[in-house]
Order: sequence, then structure tokens, then C-alpha cells
Amino acid sequence: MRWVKFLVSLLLTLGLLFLLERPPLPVNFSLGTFFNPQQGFWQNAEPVEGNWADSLDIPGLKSPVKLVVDERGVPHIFAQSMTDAAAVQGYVTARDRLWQMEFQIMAAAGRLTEIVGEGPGGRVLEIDRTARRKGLAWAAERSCEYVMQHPETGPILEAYARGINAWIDQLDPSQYPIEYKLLGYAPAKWEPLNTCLLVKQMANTLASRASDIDYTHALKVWGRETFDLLYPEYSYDNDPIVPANTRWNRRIASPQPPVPQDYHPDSLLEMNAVLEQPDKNNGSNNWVVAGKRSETGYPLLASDPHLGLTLPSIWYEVQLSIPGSNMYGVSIPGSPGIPIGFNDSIAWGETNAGKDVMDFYQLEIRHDPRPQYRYGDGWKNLTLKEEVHTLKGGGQFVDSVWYTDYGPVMFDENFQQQEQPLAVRWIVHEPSNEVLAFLRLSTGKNYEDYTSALSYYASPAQNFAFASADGDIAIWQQGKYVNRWKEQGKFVMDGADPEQAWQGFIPQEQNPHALNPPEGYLASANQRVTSAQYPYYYTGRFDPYRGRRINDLLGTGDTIGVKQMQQYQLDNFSVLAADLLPTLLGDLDSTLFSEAEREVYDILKGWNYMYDRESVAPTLFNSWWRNVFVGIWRDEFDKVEESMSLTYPQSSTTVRILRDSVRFRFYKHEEERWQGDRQAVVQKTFTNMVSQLVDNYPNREDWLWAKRKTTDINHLSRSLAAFSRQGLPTSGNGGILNATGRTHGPSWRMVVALGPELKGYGVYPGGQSGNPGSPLYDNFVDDWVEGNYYTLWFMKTANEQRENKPSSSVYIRPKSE
Amino acid sequence: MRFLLRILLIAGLGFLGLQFYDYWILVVVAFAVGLLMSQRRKRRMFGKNPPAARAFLAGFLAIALLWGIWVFMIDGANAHTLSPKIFQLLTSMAEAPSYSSWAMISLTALLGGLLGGLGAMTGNLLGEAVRG
Repeated sequence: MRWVKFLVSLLLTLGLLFLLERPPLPVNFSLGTFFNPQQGFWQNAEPVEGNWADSLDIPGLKSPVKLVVDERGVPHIFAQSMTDAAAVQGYVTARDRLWQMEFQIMAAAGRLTEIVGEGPGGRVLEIDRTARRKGLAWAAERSCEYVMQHPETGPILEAYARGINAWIDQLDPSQYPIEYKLLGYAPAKWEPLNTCLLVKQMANTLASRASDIDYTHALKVWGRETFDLLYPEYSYDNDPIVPANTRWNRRIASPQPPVPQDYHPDSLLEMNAVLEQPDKNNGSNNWVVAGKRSETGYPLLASDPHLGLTLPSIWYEVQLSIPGSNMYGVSIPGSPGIPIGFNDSIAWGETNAGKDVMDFYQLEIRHDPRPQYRYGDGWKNLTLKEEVHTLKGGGQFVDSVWYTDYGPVMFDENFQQQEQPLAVRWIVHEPSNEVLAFLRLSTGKNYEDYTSALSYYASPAQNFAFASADGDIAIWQQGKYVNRWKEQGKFVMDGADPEQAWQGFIPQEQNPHALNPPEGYLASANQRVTSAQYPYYYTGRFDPYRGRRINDLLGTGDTIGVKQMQQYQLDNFSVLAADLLPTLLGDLDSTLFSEAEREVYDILKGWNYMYDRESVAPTLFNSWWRNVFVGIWRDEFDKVEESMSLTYPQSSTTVRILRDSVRFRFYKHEEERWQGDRQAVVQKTFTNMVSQLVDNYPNREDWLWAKRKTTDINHLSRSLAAFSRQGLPTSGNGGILNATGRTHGPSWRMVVALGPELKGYGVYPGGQSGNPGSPLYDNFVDDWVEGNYYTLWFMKTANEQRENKPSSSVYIRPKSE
Repeated sequence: MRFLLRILLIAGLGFLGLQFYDYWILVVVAFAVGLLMSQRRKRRMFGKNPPAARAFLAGFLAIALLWGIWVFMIDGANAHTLSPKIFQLLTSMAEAPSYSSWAMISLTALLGGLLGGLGAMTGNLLGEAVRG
């Protein structure tokens, strides 16, 4: 009996241990370890009064470094050289953002399955295969060879990695960021290659839009005339970045190559492949105001990149100070330097160029006598790259990817059932040294330094706004661009025709740019960069609306101060609504109105086109506009064969068609029995919109824009609501200067006033710490929602103090390796 | 006194063990103390409780108090920042209720208590079985 009791007790104990090790829950970790105060999540609950150690050691430093961490968690690094500064930047960034840094490069390298497995329905494996088949990691390796050989950037990338590894090396598993504990893995050593991967990942986010496949389908389905109507090259209401009156020197321009004789995009075979496009809300604003227009008499600069909003944030604030240069701004965790910021002499910020730099070539492939593709009169060899995907929990997936002289064969019968293989030619594949460009830019003193820094920059192409204390303002659109024949790369091309291959590049000095225009300001907001006068061909996706608004605001001639700069970043005026709403309202027959329709009509009639969160008009207009958009296009697009991927026309194109055409074939709708005139579409969608709203939200309170468009800042994993901030009541919307959408928005609002009284203001929707257990994880979010800015503490010397604001200082000594 | 001594021994050795091994060391420590300090039936502290139950109670209290006080202090220093998020994570609730920090502390204490209690009871019962 006693033995039975013992055995029962033993079984209970072992049963509990088994349950804790293999919990019947969808988790990857041991519950026992997770709850153990010595190892598990409690170790990530860091003390709110936490302080940095008084001193720490990083191997390989040449001189002592002073690190000051202020009350917002911003590190201020005072070093004797850029290499030492990079090492400490790596160290502090790893301390605050280790999991994020590694997760981002795993995504870039197509290695997410190692962390999370294949995913539901193999979705994660599909994402990984896409990243590898695009050649992102291949491009990063090619670039890194080049970057590491450079006498400046090689040592900096190594120092940065050394700093990160100094942090990782002293970490006990109990101190791993909580995501490692939840997913059940450990951080690996950081290699310089990871930084190159990150740079390419940014390019993937910003420069991977390619409509070649969709446009080829559209051309086949609708023919040339309709195609040009739905996807026009120029939009009539574009206000270009480079002032329209700019004269281009055609003589030094390399001539545009002629269109090949055998170019027939509409005769290409049908394609199954679907290229996933980056979010159309990726965009940005920046502008500069000259001293003659500013309150201070010195130039002002504003920059706010609009990206997917995540926690931890894409940005990490930092000040780097070395002899001769003192710089402040935001960095991308995983890369040294400051891509958007200012120093004592200049300020800089970027917006995305949006030009198409990714082309597809249809190939004719043979495997006998050996793997080759047709090119000209002969055949060229294909090289095989075996991509091994390691799956979490064991097993692997091997993907065979063929490489051509164009680049990897992204789509073939092994991927998305693409019978006729498609190779991708992408500017991002070219080796380039963006790290050097940002290094030179952030230590620059004047316009000459800025232009020479930009010459190293290839992709993702950006509009670099620039202002200097000595009075210059400028914008250069910088990137490496193909000198295209007309429409080259707009449609899928024939890989066998040498004339359809890239012929050469646009000389860098011919990239669109403007310096000190008479108007006293320059602005960019992802619109088409030049007027039709520019002597080179390009295509892409551009948004005219924000550009028009900011040019209107800056063009009034008023004197502009920091306050106005901030107000413009927070401006909620919708140019689209102002362009379209009068046309829509004019088409309504008010004699047919119900009571609710009358109410809605009156609200819209009196609207000032501001997407303010405490008003209901934006909800009404937005819902109506969506009904109109879908009503016009969807039925015709749905009729097209499902396997053919198509892109809807842009909003600006749709607005233009609505304003210009009372009758239009796409207005027809069989189910709705519309005969093709606008008035029917407008009337019916208005009635629909009102009844949807009244039915779904009987309480008028729920019509507020703050309630209908809420903003979610999700955890980077996209799956942990507990580590996210959701349902935030924000003003603005996509396509508006305050481009705050559902999950997208201004990811860093910065305003800089240059001159002897240098002042910087900024805020981003997150916090410096990546640890959900830290009060600094999301402490900027509320201020960001309310449109508040922080006065950035730009320390002039390492010993500067402020009253009533705590900060801790750490001395970092060189340590022998 | 013996009861108190057992609690102190399990908690103290357990804490020490956690510095080197994962949470299962608590079961080993409680088991060892339970085995070595298994006692005869006639000595009773709480009425008619059988020794196995007393061993369980000692082991349970030892670790529940150790973990409970420990994470109570961590949670206080952390100003209850992380515990509601973990609560939300485990329960998939849309928002963490006000009691979630307490729930996480109690859950941690309960889990530790079970580990210590079962370990000590098993050790005690083995001792009794061996002694015959």
C-alpha cells in the first residue's frame, strides 16, 4: 500500500512536469521555464527605475567613449572616431532592439521558417521562397563584398557587429528578449552581412513595386486605348517635385535608346504569377524652406516617412558625436549611421521615389544538352542555386532556383505554376554602398558634401531633402536609374531579344534635382518627380495629392516657423475629397432624399475636407468614395479570368475619370442595372452608403472618424495583440499630409530649424526599448496620436546637463580582445 | 519547528538550485528534503494530518512563498508593466483586466507550490515505503 501511494505521488509529479514541458497549448516553450522567476518572462519585467551600469567594456574600441542615455531612452554617444561610435551604436541598439534586428534580417534572407515553421497553409514558407527567389540575399552578398572592401565602411560594419556581439556575448539566456522565449530560440552572432541584408530589405520595402505582369494582362484584356485611360503615364494634376519650369540640358544627356522593333508586349503568353506588391501607403513627405521665407532667417526642414507601423518601431533615435561632426536623428536597428536627421551644419530627410526599377523577362528555356535560355541567335547558360529552407522542428524544403544574366528566375513551374519562366532584373541586385552615402551625408557640412555623398547611393531611390545652416535648400532624387526606351519595363519583356535588355544608366548628374528655387521652398511627397520636359523615360506609381497640398501651403507666401512646419505635417486636408466631392454632390437628385440622406447630404455639403477625428464627414465621404470606386471597377475586373492578376486604376485616375466623363463604359453595371452614366452610379452608391451606415451604426456617435478609422500599431510578429497598441483614435488618412491610416502612417515626424540656434523636434509611434516589459516600449505613442513633438536634446558637448531631466552616463573603455 | 525547518530548507536550497538549473531542480530539492526528513506517524503538528499531507504542505508553502514574494517584488519594481501583457497573451483577452497582475503573481506562486508540494510528498512517501 505504501509503495502504491508513493507510485501515485510520483506519477502525479512526473505528470505535472510533463504538462509543463509539453503544454497542450499552441506554444513553443516550457511553461515551467516560462514561469520560473529566474529564467522566464518575469526576467523581462525590468525595473522602471532601471539604470545603466556605470561602466562597461566593448572589445576593439580605440579610445574611451562616453554614453549618455536621456530620460526618453535616447543614447548620446561621444566617441573619438566613427568606428568607435558605430561599435557603441551597435551595442546600445542590440541592448534595446536585439530581437527586432535579427527578425528583420531573417525575413530579408528568407529564413523565417527557421523561427516559426511553415506557417498555416505553408504561408511562411511561401514568403521565404519569394524573398529568396527575388534574390535579396544574393544581392546582399554581392553588395557586402563591395561594402566590406571599402576602407571606410568595412571597419564601420565590423565595429557595429562587434558592438552588437559584445552585448549578445554577455547575455544569459534568462535575459533574452521575451520573443525568443516565446518562440523558443536563441540569438545568433551578428555578422556584417546582416547590415547589407537590412539595406536590401529596405529596398525591397520601397522599390519592389512592379506592375509588369498586371499591365501586360490589362493590355491584352482591354486593348491600348482603354489601357492608357486606366493607367496613364502622367496625371494632369501632378505638381512635380522639381519645379516644372526647370530647364534640362539635353545636350549632355545620353540619348534615350530606340524602342526595339520586335517589342510586342500584347503578344506574350498568359501568366499565372502574382507578384506581391509593397503596401501602396508606403510613402513620405519632406520639404525645406529657405531662410528668406522662414521666421528664423535660416532654413527649416521637415521629414516624415510613412511606413507600416509596428512595435518595436522601425526607427531608433540616437545622437552620434565625433570630432568634427555632431549628428542626431533616427537610425534603423541593424545599420550604423543616421538616415534621417541633422548635424550642426545641415539637415536631411528622404521620401520614396516610386519609380519602377524592377523588370521581368519571359524566357525560353531548354534543358538539353544543358540548362540554357534563348538569347539573340544563341543560347546562354543557366546556373542552378539550391535554396535550402530549414523548417522549425526538423525537416527542410529544397527549392531549385535558376540564375540568368538578368537575375534569378523568380517564377517558373516550381513557383506559382508559371509555365513560361520569368526572370527578374532589379536595380536592387546591383552592388552599392548606401552605408557610405549615409555616413558622408550625416557628417556633411554643405551642399557640395551632400551631392558627393549622394553619388554613392543606388537604391532604394529617394528624394533627399536638404537644408544647410549656410542657407542652401535642395532636393535631389537619387538612385541608380536605367536609361529606358519608351515604356521599357512597363510590361513584361522578351528575354531572348538583346535589344530589350537594359542598355545603360542615366548619368548621376542628370538625376532630377533642384537647388535654391526663387519660390524659397521645395517639397516632395511621392508625386511624379518631373514635368514631361525631363529627357528620360520612367514609369512607376505616384501620388499627386499630398504634393499638391504641401505646395499649396508653402506657396502662400507667409513666413513659416517651426509651428507651421509641424501643423503642415499634421494637416488633414484631403485634396482628393476637394477634387471629387462637388462633382458627386452635384449629381444627386435631392428631391428623392430620405431623412437620413438629407442629413448626410447636409453634412457633406458643409464639410471643409479635413479628416479630423472628431468629425463625421470623413467617415461619410470615405465610405461613399469606396462604394463609388468599387462600383465602377469591380464588376469588370471580376469578369477577367481569375488566374490573371490585375491592378486597379489609381484613385487619382478614378477621380479624374469621374470629373471628366459623364458617360464611361466602366460605369455600366449589370446587377445594378446602370447603363453607363455617372449620375446613376453616384445616386445609387450614395443611397447604399447611407443605408449601410444607418444599419450598422444607428448611434451617430459611432460615425465619428476617430471611431471608424482607428489605428493599430501591431507587434512586428503581427500575431501578438498583447504587445500591440490597437484602436488608437487618430486624425488623417492615406493620401493626406497626415497620412495616418489603419496600420500605416508617419513613422517619424521631424522638424529641424537650422542656424546658430539649432533646434530639432521629433516623435515616432513607439519607444526606444523593444521590450514590452519596459515603460519605454510604447511611451511615445500617446504623444504621437495627439500630434505632440519632443524637443530633441541635441547635446553640444559630452558634459552638457539639463535641469530636472534625469539621464545616466556610462564610460566605455577599450578592452583587449 | 520541524515543519518550519522543512519550509526553510526547501525554499533556501531551491533558490540556490535555481541559480544553476531550471525550475525542475525545485522538484529534486523538495523530493530530497521530503525523503531525508520523512518522519514517523506519531509526531504530529497539525492534528491528524498524515505526514504525506504535511510534507506536501511544507513543500507547497516553501516554493509558493519563494516564487510569490520574488515575483511580487519584480512586478512592483516593474510598475505592473509586463504582467498584464502576459496575462492578455495567455488568455487572448482583448484588454487586460485590473486584476491581471495579481493573477499572474498568484498563478506563478501556485505553479511553484505544486512543484514543491508534489516533490516533497513523493520524497516523503518513498521514505515511508522504504522504512516499511
